[in-house]
Amino acid sequence: MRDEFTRMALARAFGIQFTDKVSLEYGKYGWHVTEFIDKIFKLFENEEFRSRVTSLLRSEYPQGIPNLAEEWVEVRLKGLASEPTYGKIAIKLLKEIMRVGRARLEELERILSINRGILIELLKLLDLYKLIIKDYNENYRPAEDLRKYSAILERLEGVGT
Amino acid sequence: MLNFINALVNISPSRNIISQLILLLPKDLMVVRYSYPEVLSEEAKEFLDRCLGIEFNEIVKRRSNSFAESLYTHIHKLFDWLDSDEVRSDLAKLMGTHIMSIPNPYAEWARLVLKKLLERPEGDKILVFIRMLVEHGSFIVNREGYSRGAKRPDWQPFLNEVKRKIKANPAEFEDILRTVIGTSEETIDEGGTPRSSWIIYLKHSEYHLDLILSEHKTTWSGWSHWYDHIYRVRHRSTIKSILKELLGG
Repeated sequence: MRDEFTRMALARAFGIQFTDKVSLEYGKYGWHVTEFIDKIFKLFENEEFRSRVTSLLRSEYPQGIPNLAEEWVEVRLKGLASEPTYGKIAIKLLKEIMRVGRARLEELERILSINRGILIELLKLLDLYKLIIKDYNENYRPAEDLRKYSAILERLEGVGT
Repeated sequence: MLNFINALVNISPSRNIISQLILLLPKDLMVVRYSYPEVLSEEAKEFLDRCLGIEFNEIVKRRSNSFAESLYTHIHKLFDWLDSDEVRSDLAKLMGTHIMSIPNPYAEWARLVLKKLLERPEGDKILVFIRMLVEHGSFIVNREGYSRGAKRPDWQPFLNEVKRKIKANPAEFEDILRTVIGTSEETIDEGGTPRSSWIIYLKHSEYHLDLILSEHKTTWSGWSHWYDHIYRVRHRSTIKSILKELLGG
């Protein structure tokens, strides 16, 4: 993604906009794909679907059909935890946001005694991994899928505790 | 990237029977029983109904807001996306591969459909109609408010010319029109400015070759207004090259 050539090709093919923030252009294929992926996640969250397909494809999926939505949360959390500079402290912050349900910047600063500049960087990182949402009231909340599969965060032992 | 492309290709209707069934619904149960006997076992029906959202009554159809409905929508987006030379060229550059190795699900599907249509007794006529359609490119279906010198609607004269050329009787031609142009429409864009408004429909044909974009545009100035209804033919170069393979010339 670092070189101009790759960015241009991605922008044209998928409608990815590279400004100060990377986003998807409405109505372009990349945007449609994210909508479709949401539907795929919903399908794979359906236990009946997984169990019926598992019984049909036992040899291809001996461990059973995975819950892709849950797997996606796990991938993001592991990615976050492995960030070299801020990984561990970001997980600690995320656990705190999970514990209190919602919190403003000042509250997090007071509870965790983290320098505001670093806290802002951490919140940006959590946002990048789509693990938190900032609401209209300037509160930071856990993303919906993280709340649903919060056990994965709890299982990240020795990180951020 | 290769995984991503392979995943998309594997759900395209030319390679996946579930996608194919979902794309072609609604259909009469008897037709589904004949064309897709493997999906009518109790176990398969229950899976398709409860997990994917396909309703099996006298008419087999997609349930609204179901996964089947999402897949149906996505297949159309995928068709349009990969039937673009620019997109396939960019993907080839990103993957460091030859453009010919980037699949085109629409072309694969169109090749299957056109071959199937050619097997019908009136197959030659249908394909000649499609060839004339893609060669023409766009049509004025209707227009109002223009002065005498303006270009006149040419859709009906075109149809008359096709009818004469393929020597189709009125009933046969109506069937051909239903197959090639389709009867159902889906709104894909609408909007306006203080002096104009437009709405664009995609016409869904029997096998979803979906060749026609139907554009309605009205423009106002003072007490005058102009209205245009235009058909634009899509996927022209893909269809042209497949027809060349099948019909020669």
